[in-house]
Amino acid sequence: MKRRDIIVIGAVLLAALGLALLGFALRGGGDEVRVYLDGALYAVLPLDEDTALVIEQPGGAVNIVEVSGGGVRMREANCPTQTCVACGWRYPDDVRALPDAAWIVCLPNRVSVELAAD
Amino acid sequence: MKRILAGVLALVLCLPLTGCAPREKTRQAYLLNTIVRLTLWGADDALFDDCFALIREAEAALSRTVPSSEIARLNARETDTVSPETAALIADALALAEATGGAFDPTIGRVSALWDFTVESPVVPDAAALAAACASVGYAGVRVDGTTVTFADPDTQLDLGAIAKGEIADRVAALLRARDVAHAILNLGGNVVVIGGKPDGEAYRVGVQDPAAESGEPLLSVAVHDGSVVTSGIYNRGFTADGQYYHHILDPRTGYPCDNELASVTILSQSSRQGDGLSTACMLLGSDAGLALIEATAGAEAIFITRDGEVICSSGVEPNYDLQMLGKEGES
Repeated sequence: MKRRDIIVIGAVLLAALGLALLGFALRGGGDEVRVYLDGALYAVLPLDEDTALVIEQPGGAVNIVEVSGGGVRMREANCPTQTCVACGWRYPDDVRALPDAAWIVCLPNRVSVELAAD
Repeated sequence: MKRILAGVLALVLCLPLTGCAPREKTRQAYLLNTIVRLTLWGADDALFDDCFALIREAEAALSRTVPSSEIARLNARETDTVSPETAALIADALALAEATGGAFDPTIGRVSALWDFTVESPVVPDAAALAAACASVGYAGVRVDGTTVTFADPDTQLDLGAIAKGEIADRVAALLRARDVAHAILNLGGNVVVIGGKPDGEAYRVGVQDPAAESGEPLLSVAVHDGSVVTSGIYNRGFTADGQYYHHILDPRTGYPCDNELASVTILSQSSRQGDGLSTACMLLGSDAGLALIEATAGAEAIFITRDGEVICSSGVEPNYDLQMLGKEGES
């Protein structure tokens, strides 16, 4: 009887662990960079693929979002403030420390970049 | 057999633990001259739409620069009647002016109108024009009687810019609470309101920018479960002309950006309206008088950061907000 109890408990724990791992596999490993234009999703870039996205808007606004080495930054922006460029690189660890670090915003050009970690 | 059944049941009970917490969703829009970002847990698109509509509506009523707004129409003396919400907001701003002896003053409208920090190449207004505008400032000459607002001086103009964002944040928070949203983060261009912390019960950490860092690097963070974090700083909006830096926190007594030892003030409070007004008021008062005001105000705490990088906290910050200093070389 006790033996069967242990078997059942063990089986439940194993199954739960399996499910948790499955859930983690389905959700995790998917760190990505979401780029928004005027508040609307414009592009999604995987964080593990080095790339540079050039965003040219009809009004003449130009931004370049760079993903490299597991981080993201606004490499260039032709906005007057350059606040977004000054933000530098953002990594998933920054976001885990402080959720707001997920965002790089170019207010004048209405471009925002979200590092979606976890 | 029963035990196996119990096991299966236990297994089923484990399922929700693997990731069916209310879904987090973020939407953003460019409103209030900034970016407004709402993160809601378990909300649908219609609720987001309602929130953004509320913000647009409130902006249309409260903005000094929208000609059809209640404030613009009061300033143009086209009417003396406003909505009860706007009347209450004006009365609140006047009360804060009184509490600060006029260091903070919502009748700064004419001064504000001379400065434009949003254009590509801002300019410093003419000194004589600023002096004339300062003469029209005076909260004591404004009366709010029910929904009627009257001015003793025909030139006096209201500008609720220093508290409108906080007020609007409070209204959005109230809407969300009324719709049973248990967890949300509202970020109105730096005015942050946290509802219910994170779904796992943990408080949400809000960063406070290092005024000395151009990059917007956080200097410290505070843990907030339910409440508002508002920062006013000289770095938020400004420009340099003839070697002099001009920021957007205007002193109603001089017409120029306030010039004291403070770089930023962060207010922690329940009401974002209160926090918004107090952050500006403290910037104008300076650290000593600002700290005295905060200690005398119920429900509000403050973090002052001086231009030298000194951090001064009111008495309730450390026990209630788990302040942590951040920094690249320090532990994170």
